[in-house]
Amino acid sequence: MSGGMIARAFRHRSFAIGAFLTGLVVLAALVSYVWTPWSATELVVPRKLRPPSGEHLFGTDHFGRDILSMIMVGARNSIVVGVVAVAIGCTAGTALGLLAAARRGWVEELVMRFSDFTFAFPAILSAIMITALLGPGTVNSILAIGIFNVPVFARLARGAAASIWARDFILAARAAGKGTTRITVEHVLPNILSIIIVQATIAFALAILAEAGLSYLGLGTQPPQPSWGRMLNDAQTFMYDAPYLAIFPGVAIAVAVLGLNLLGDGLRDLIDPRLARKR
Amino acid sequence: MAFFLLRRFATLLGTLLAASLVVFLVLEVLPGDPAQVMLGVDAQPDTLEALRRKLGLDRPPLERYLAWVVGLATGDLGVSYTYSVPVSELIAERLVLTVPLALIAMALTVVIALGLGLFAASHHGRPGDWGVMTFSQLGIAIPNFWFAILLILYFSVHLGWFSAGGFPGWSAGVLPALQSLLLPAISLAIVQAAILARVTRSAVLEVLREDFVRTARAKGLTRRQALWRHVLRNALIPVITIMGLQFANLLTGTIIIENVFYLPGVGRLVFQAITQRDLIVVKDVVVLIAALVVIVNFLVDVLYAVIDPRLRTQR
Amino acid sequence: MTLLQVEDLTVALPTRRGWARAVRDLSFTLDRGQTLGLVGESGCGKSMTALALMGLLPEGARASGRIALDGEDLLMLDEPEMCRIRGNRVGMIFQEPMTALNPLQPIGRQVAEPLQLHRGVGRAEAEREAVRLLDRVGLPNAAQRAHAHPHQLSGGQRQRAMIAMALACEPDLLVADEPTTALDVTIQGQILDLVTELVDERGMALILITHDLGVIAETVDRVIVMYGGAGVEEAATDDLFAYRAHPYSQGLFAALPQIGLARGTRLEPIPGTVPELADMPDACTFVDRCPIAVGACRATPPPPLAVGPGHRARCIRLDEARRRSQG
Repeated sequence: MSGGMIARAFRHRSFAIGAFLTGLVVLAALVSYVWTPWSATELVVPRKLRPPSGEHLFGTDHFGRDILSMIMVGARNSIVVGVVAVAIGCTAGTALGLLAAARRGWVEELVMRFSDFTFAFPAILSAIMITALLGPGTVNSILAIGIFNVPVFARLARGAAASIWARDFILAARAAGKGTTRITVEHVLPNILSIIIVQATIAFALAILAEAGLSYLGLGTQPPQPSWGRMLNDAQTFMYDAPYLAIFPGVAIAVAVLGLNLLGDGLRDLIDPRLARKR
Repeated sequence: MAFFLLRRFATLLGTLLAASLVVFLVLEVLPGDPAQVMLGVDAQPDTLEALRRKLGLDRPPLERYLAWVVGLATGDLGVSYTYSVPVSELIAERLVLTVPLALIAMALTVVIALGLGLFAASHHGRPGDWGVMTFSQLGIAIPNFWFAILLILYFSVHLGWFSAGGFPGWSAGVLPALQSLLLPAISLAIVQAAILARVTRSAVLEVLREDFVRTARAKGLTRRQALWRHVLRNALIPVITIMGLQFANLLTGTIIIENVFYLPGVGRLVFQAITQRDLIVVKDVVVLIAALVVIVNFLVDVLYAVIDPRLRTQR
Repeated sequence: MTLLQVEDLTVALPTRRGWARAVRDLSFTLDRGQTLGLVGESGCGKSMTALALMGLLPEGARASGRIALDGEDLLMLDEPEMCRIRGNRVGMIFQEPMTALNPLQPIGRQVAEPLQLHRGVGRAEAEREAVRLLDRVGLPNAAQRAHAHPHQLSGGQRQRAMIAMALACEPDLLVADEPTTALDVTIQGQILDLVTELVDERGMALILITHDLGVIAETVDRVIVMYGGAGVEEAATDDLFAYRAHPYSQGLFAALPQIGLARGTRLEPIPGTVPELADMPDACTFVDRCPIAVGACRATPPPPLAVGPGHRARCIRLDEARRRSQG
């Protein structure tokens, strides 16, 4: 990114707001490693279900844990699940897509048929299958969300790569005697990278939503590790006594997802101004 | 037309078979010993052996798969391990909740999304448009189960208009039953509507730029008449594509939302089956949901052909 | 009585660099039964003129001057009033019959639509009338074809349907924007013949917009040559083909390959390219590409000067232009 592009990026409204919100979540997660207002895991029953105050900004839960601290540590969980799941889906999917575009023929047919029918298994459904098989837990929900993302990226990468393969400079590279693998790595991949990055941002947001859903159901991250989805599940139990419990974790999820979506929109506009005008 | 439908139908059957094969492989072959998975590591050897026999695990996987698929086709889904009743009965009594819930949610989604999308497109670049886009951006970011909890907080806890969950059953009367489905349906619909409103808006804006809209205006149609008579139907094609995909999200959304509202539907059934490790029920329900998703997408393709005459003559 | 009187029509479009005039001070009159051609390269303002007549300018565009239809200034009408004029008193044919028809509607219904709208007849009756119209414009098997969708018709047939649609309410004025450009050469003649025949038959006035001088020669009584939004020369068709007074018209005709031209005769392209609208010179629009321009050409917009009876050109160097064309 050149200096000019960074300046342009921060004048772009979606990008600026998205970067700010995402930055906020990442910052909270990073800070939580060295400092949280209170312990996020220590149970102090005497101070349970305190409403928000100067002492406990977002209040305390039924075990007396500080909600703000839990949200900060929970951010870690969401980010880790999101990053790893997207990394799995993105790497495997992009590799498959590149392979399909480079090899054509039955390989492409196989990859595309596979991608086509996986729409029958939306994220939560595939996660349910995987937890039924392996049991609940953070690693398994990462696996489930990651696997769900493979065909998403495979399809995207194949389409983008196929259009690159049709360009003249690929012909020139071929004429120069470069092999398929080398062309893929040197010419195709760098050209589709921007599209992949934009999709990864959006997939990251969806992964956070899916993880929250799984944790809410009790199939994702297990206590005592704090997670936003789990906190909402607990909050529902104490809805009449402590309604504020249901507010803050939800806001945290919404801020993270909104931030990443805006960031993705902004990136797409900045990388491809032609697309932006078309919308 | 007939050829188009036939070909799509063949694809539908192929996809259904592939989906069932994947479910079978993941839940029956990958675990090695499904009986062990269902009973846990500390199960007694003789109970394990009994379950293995009951599941027919002594037979080769291919035979078991074929028997299962034939069972699926004929409505014989086996017997639930935990409930000891036929799975088909279990599913049937849950479907009477989940199907109406999904349909109400879909209807709400379509009404809200088309309304907002059309409004935004016809106010393109003005505050109305901006407002709808902001709503849509927020709606996409909010998890549906959190929105559901907020609805319960406000309407049930604060105002006391609805019960916080549960389902009285259709025998208690249509109105009370519908009332208990209203908040769940809204929470399912709002997120989907936010996405669909965006799609509708950009589809309408796209069609508004087409030459035939100018032709319609040159005939003397007002902006509004041109929108209703010529733009809407053309814009519907991309909107319906997304609607088909959203139905899948809606169905899986019921898994979470039914748990938020303690509704005894298919979603809650599969959730309970997982916690009880009842692989027989999980297998059947997962395949059922996948089949519904695939069938809805087939129907969407048929709907295309109804809307777009060009597809009817195309081979 | 004069049917259409356009006076000092100016259309300004918002661009990134401020307002740009796509049509500037265009004036002409047209009687019933008369045919007028607007000719020029793409971007010369001819299509913008047509859209201004229809009141269908792109959003943000401003039109000033006067467009009087039977004495009523169309620019002063509000939107509902304008909707009663469009398709009723003024009909329009567009360039692309492929995209200008709604792909999802049978053509019979599309032809019937203006009748339902302006004549207040029911749908069944309007569709019966549509079949008669489709038959009149030479669509074979009109009764059956009325149920066909646009993609089932050929380009020529679609354009016939388009003509039927524009003529449904027997308008006083027909505006045809490049009606044959998108068609096969063999079909072009048939469609033009049909248009002129119908215009004669119904005593309508016709404004034909084209970049094709051959079409002009065959179809219209009078021509306005446009460049950079300005009508640079106006003449009876025969007069213009006999003698071009404006340097741009001269260049335009010289760039045209002609059948029967001696081999080796070189086509002379006009030097330079059409500037962007926002860069169009203020006074004479052609000054930057004109071979005989002088300093005074940049001072004020040239007035229309008489070349002969009914023949005017906006150029202050007409004598020099004449000398060059003869030399």
